[in-house]
Amino acid sequence: MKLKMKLKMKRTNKPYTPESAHNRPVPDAVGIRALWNLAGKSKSAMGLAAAILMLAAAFATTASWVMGIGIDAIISRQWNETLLYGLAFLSFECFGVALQYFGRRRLAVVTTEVALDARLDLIRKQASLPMSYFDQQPIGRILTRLTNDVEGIEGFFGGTLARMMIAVIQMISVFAGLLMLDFRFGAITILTSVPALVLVFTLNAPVRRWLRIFKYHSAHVNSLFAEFVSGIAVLRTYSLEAWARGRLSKAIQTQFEAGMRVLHWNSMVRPAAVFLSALPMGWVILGGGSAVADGTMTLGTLAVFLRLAERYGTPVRTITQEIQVIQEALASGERVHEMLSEKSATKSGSLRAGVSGAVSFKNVFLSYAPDTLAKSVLHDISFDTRPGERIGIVGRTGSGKTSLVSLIPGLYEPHAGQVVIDGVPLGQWDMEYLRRQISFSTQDAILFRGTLRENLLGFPGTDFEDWSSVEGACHESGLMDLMQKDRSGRFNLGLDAKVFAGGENFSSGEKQIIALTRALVTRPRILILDEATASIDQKLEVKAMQSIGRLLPDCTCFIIAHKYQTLAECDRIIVIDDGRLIADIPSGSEYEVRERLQAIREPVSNLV
Amino acid sequence: MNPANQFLWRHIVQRKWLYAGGLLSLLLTSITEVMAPKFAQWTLDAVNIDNSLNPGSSSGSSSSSSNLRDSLAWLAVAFIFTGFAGLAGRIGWRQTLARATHESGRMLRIQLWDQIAFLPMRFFREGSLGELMSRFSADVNQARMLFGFTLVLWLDCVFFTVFAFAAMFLISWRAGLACMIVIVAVPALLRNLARLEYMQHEKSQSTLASFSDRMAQNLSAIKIQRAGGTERFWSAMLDRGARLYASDRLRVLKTGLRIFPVTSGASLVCVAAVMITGWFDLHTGRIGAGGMFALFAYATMLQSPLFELADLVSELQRGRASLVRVLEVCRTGSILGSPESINGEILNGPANLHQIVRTPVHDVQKIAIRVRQLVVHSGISGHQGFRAGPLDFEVAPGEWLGISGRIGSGKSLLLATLAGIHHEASGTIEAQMVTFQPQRPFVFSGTVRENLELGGLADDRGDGDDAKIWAALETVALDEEIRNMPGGLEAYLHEGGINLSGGQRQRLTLARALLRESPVMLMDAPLSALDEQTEQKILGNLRRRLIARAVILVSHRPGVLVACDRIFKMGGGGANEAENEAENEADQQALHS
Repeated sequence: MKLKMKLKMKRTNKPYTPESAHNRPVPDAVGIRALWNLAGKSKSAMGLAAAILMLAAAFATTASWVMGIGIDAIISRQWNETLLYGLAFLSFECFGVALQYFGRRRLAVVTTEVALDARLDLIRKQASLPMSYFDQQPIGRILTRLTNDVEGIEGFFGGTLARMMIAVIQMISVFAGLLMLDFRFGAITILTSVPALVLVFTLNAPVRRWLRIFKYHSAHVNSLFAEFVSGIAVLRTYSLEAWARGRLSKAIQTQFEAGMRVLHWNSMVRPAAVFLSALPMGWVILGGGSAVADGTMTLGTLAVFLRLAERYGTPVRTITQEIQVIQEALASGERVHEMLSEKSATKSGSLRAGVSGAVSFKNVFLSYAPDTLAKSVLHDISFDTRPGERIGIVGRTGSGKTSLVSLIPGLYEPHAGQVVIDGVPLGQWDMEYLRRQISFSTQDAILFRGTLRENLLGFPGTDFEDWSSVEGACHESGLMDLMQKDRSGRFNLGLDAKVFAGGENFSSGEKQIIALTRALVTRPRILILDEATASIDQKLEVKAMQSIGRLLPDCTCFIIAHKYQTLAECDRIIVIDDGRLIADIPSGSEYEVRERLQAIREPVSNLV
Repeated sequence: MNPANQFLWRHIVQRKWLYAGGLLSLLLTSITEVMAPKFAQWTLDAVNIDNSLNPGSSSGSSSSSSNLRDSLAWLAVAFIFTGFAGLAGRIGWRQTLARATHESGRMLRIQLWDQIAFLPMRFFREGSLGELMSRFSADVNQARMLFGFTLVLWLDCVFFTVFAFAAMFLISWRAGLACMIVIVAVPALLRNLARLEYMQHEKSQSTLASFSDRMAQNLSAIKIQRAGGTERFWSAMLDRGARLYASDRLRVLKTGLRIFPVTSGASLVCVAAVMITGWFDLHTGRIGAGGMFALFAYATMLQSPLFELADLVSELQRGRASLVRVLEVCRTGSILGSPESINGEILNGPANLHQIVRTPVHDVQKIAIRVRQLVVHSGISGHQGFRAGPLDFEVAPGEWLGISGRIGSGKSLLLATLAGIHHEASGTIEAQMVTFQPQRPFVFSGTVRENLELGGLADDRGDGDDAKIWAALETVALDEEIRNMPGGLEAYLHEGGINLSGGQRQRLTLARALLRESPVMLMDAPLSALDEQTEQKILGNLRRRLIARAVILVSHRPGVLVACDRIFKMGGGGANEAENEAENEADQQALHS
């Protein structure tokens, strides 16, 4: 455990600076490739949507061209033709609108599918990741991957990508229209549009960095706020309200200044982009007007040029805005992709058989970072147990007790040796099936937000038949007693009582009783109690231990404890020190056990 | 008047010059935007008149040709000039109204914290962190838009429409009128669609929120999933949530897209109307080809504000809803007042049911804390009946009082009441300054030093302070571990102290409490995460170090209670004294075994 802590520290203990924090910039190419991979099998469907949109833009450009011919007809006062061209113009526009509607609709369907696929992939992934993955990074960060980052990707595919696609298609259609009408003049017009594009692509780069810094400071403000709210009791008892306000308002001010920096930049760059995107129009007024005067261009063509040049502004504006937020989507895409390519836990075997509960360790070594030279957490552990045997495990904090029992349900994989259950190595069992027959209860009782009922089952939902076993477990563990005696009203709804996130509305003793009850519900064949009763008062603890013996007479139990009372009913006591099994003591009277433990001295001398 | 509107209006009036500047800038922006088709019209008309004066001549009379070139050059210059005006307008509204958005975000956040900091504790008990968090981040983010960007969108939309119509009327009142009739009908058509989209959006957001919630729940239970083989149930639940959200979101997108054919259709009808009226106007020579072109352009342009209409409505609705949620917290009002007034004043519990009187101790030599007729109520809303007490006791300086009792008997609440953070109680507390070590150790993100000093010692840092800090760390047997951390006292601890073990967190916060050097220490199960060996060592250190201080300590471990001078047993209220006594006996036995 200690080693694990150290490992954690190494991974996360970098100084917090805007550049090094979770907002580290992702090279565009990497991000784009990640998003490309996430698009998966929907790529061709997306291509189809793009093709429809392209066709729509072609119709719109053709409509403008028809309008030009119409204007020539007006000038030559051919009224009937004018009407005809008018109708043609309208119908082309109508087609364009209809196609664009269908294209966008198609795109919406496809992008929603992409986002859903990414979500489902991540859900499957997180369910298959090894326990060590969750130990090595803060839950908050994983949660961000699974929620915010997917939302970022969703926003990209459903919003940014769609808008960018439409803008680029519009721009291409305008350029194509210009070139087809009059190649030379069109080419010059396109040249005059270059400054706006250059501005958009060059001057937007720094803003992406500042946006990142702004995001970082926003995250900092939020986490500071969350921290102060959850630590409000400490702030109050230490009269630190003013101190907290000072820190928070400083962070808010920094966030504000970062936001203002983005704003200052945008308040120059965006208007400048709009201004420069008007250049083609200026050129058409001057150059096109002269060309008509020279007779090298018809008035209608000039009108089309004016219309196309005017339409050029919209896509430039869109691209200016979207190019700034694209960074975030790239980073999200890269992070999600990274998580999806994490190594999954080893595939489980397929054996499904009744478990009798004979657990054996055969020369087991465990290290949380096998590639480094780090000392192993467990060193050459071997022992056998009979079905139904009760094994007490003692040892100092950090000696490897928790790591040892974590290997039984296969939470970690030993890097050498084997854990064998009923003579079959763990790897050959169908793990899900096997784990349903193992119960594991820890000192930090894990409760999740939901009802008491859900917490006792271990998963949300009520599709469960065997309610009598739940009620039986409640009686045996002492939970029922607790519920009946409780006067706080928290248990008024019985099994439907509300449990707050982390079980915050219960004291640590109550939480342990609930977790202990959960361990009994499934009538396990193997029960692991890792200081699971440490916060329960003695009387209740003794009761609970006795009822475990009554309720689960044939169940193999592993009990980690610091108190002799907890281990009173054990058949054997195993002593672990520094990752090694140093003694295996058969049960006897309390006096005998104490004598034997005294002989080993240090690790367990304080067992009371 | 809606409180959100009232608040917004008051804010705008307060900063009227800034908002006036923004308004003018937006006016300028809209005018220049509407000018573009006019320039096209002028160009076409100029060229056309020239052409009709000199039909078919390519060389033309040099004078008229150079006149034309002059006027084209002037047009181009004027166009560029308009562009500059637009530039100024756009910079102007960003520097005023966009700035106002950021400023109001800052203002709302600070105001929110000022309220939250003094809310009664019961607000924080009922899983309210997520709720407060969403108001502080998401709601403020949305609400601040009302003070700037939303305003910009609305004004831009209104100005643009008005000026575009004005320009059309100036060219041809028939075309203008025809378009107006069409356009005015559209908001009515869009209203239902916009409302539908808003409702669907809200629904999808709540689906998403509950999905994220489920995901958090899932991650918090990851270990019991793995150990119990229940991943399948969890994944199935998440799977359902993800699919539900995807279908919700697709529905929103589709509804949003239905706005597109309506607005585009409207603009096409406008174009048709312009074509018909323009055709007559052309016939009678009231307008030229340029005028016709400009009318076309305006008719097409009018669809963009329409297209945004649905967004504008929902943006406004969302902004107002968020602002109301933010103001709700501000209006709850604090019952605590400012921190200075906590001691020595009468504080009221919920609905004024209970009263607790806190006074300073007069005889500081003999008494550190004295409690008279103290009744502690659980204070969890919606329930009544959980009471502990009445309690009467006093603790002298240097004395250790242990408090034991069965689960849920109110031990922790008693300490919280003494510490002054739980107010649902009645009776009298006479106390010197107290320091409270809660059951759950709380570590702030920051360095080890910052966590120990917590703003307290930082003012004049000297070597003496470091010595004090190390002494405190030694008392809690943490000095060795801190020394081994990279950076020592400057090692960075992350949010909630996740890079520390539970035992390290407990010892660190205990050291923090020691450094306050207050005459009364309240400790709630201070060493529960440690093995007995370390526990005994620290207890010994504490007894040596806290010679002159009064200690009240909650624990159920006999090994800890043995260290106390007196043990005080809490029952589950006054009703079952007999049972308490029986339990007392059992405990006495446990203590002596």
